[in-house]
Amino acid sequence: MSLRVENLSFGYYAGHPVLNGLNLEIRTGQVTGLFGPNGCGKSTLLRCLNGALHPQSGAVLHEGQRLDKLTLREIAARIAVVPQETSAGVPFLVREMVMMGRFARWDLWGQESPEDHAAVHASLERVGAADLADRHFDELSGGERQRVIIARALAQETRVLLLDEPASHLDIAHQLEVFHLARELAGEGYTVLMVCHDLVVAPMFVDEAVLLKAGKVFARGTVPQVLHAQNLSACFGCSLGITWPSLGAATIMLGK
Amino acid sequence: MPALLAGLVLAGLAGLMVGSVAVAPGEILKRLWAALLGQSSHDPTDQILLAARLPRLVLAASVGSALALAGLAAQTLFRNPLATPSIIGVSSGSALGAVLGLLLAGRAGFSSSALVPVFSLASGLAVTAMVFALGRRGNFFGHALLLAGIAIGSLCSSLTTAALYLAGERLQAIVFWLMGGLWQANWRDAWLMLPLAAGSGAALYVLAPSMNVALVGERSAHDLGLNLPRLQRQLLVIIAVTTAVAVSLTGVIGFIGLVVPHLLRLVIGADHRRLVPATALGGAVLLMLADMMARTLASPAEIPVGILTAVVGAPVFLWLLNKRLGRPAA
Repeated sequence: MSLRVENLSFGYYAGHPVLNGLNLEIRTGQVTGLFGPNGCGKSTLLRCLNGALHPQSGAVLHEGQRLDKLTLREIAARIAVVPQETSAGVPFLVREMVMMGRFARWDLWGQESPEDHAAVHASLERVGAADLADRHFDELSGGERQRVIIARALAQETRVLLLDEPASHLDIAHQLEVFHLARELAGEGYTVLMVCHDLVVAPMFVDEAVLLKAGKVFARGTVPQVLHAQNLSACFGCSLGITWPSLGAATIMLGK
Repeated sequence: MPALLAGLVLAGLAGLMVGSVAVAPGEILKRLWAALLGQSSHDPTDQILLAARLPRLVLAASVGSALALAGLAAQTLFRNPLATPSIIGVSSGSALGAVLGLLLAGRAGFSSSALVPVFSLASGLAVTAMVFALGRRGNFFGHALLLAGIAIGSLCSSLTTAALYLAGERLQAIVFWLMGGLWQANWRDAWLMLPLAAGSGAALYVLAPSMNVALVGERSAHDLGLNLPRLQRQLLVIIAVTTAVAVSLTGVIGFIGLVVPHLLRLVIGADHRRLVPATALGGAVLLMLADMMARTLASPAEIPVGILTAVVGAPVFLWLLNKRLGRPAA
C-alpha cells in the first residue's frame, strides 16, 4: 500500500466541503484512474495527496508516514506531480527545467552534482526526449512539453506519480503517448494516480478506476465494474450509455 | 561572464583615467599598487585618483550592482519581467524621505549629507513594511502586494511633488538629487555600499536554485519542494534594504534594475545561477560607464547619471531585442 487517504475532508470555504470524509487506498505498480464530474473534488484530492492543500480533518499517508509531518522537500522527494500544462515564461532550456526536479535534494549550498546530471539525462532518455535537452522549453509543442514535465517528475526519483489530466491539452496521438508512458512506469514499480477527464481513451490504460461524487468515493474497481451507464448517469447527472469492448476504446451513447 | 569581467576591469580603468586631469593607464596601476602597499605619495594626482575617482568608481560599481540585483529579485518575486523595486514602493518612499531631509536641512541649517541618507533609508524601509503589511492580508504575493505598492508609491510621489512645490530656493538641489548622481561620493558611502552589494549578490546566488523553481509558477514550485512564501519574504527584504540604501546615497537611478537583468536574460538564458553573477557585473559596468559620461560630457558641470543610464542602456537593449525578435520562429 503506497498512498492511503483516511477520512479526508477539505473545503476552500467554511461550510462548503469539496472532499467529505474520503477514504482511499492507492496501490503500487498500477495505474489508478480518478474519474468524476467537474467539481467533484478530483483535482482537490490530487493536491491534498502531495500536501499542497492542508485538509481540515483526516490525513494522507505515504508508506505509513503522515504527509503533514513532512517538509515540502521531503514530500517532493517522495511524490512527484505532473500538471495539466506548464509554461516557463522565461527562456529556460529543457535540461534546466528537468534539473528543477532535483531541487528537493539540494541543501542551502547544493549545486548540481554529476549524479544530478545523470538523473536528468536518464529521465529525458526514459521519455524519449533526450534530443530536446538544449531546446527552449517554451518553444516545444504541447506533447513535447508534457514529456519533458514527466521527465522532470522522474528526475525527482520518487515512487509516486500524480498526473492531473496530463493529456487534456493533447491530440490523440500525444494522448496515447502519455498514457502508454504512465502504464510503463506503473509496470516499473511506480504508484501512478491519474486524474482523467475523458471516458473514452483514458480508461483503456487504467488498472483500477475510482469514481468520485460530491467529495466521496462513489465506486471503485475495474473499469467495466465502475464506469457503467448506471454509475455514470448517477455521477454526471445526464443519461449515458457506455459499452466496453474487450480491446480498444469505449463507445459512449447519449441517452434520452 | 569573462566578457563581463573584462568589461568591469576596462570600465574601471577608463573611469580612473578620464576626467579633468587625464592619467595614463600604466600610471594608474603603478599608483594603485603603491597605495595598496601603503606608499601613496600624496601628490595632487594621488589625491584625484584615491580620494575622488576611486571611491566614486567603487560606489558606482556597487550601486549599479545592487540596483540590477534588486531588479532581478523583483522580476522573479513577481514573475514579471517588467517588475522593478519601485513596484513595492521602496524607491518613491526613499525619495520622499530624502526630499524631506533636504527641506529640513535647508530650514534648520543641518548638513544635508548626514540627514538625507538617514531620512531616505528610514522612509524607504517604512514604506516597504507598510506595503508588506497591507499586501500580505490578501492572497499572499498576488495582486494585493502589487496594488498596495502602486498605491503607496503614488502617494509618496505626490507628496514628493507637493514638497517640490513648497521647496522655494531649494528646488534645484532637490530636483538634481531626485535625478540621481554620484557627485557626493566618498569612501564612507563606498564602504557602506560595497559590502551590501556583495552581500545581496551572495544571498541571491545561494537562492538561485529556488528562484529558478519559483519562476515556473506557484503550484509547480510547491510540487518541487520549494517553500515559496519564505523565498518571497527573503527576496522582499533583499530588495527593500539594497534599494533603500542605494537611493539614500545616490538618489533615484532608474533603468538599471529593469534593463540589466532583462538584457542578460536575452543573452545567457534564465538560469539564475548564471544570471545572478552576470547581473551583478552588468549593473556595475553600466553604472560605471554612465557615471564616467555624467562627469565628463559636460565637464565641469555634471549631468544627472539617471539620464545617462538610459542613454547608454536603451540602445544596447533595443539592439538585442531587435536581434532576438528578428530570429525566425522564436
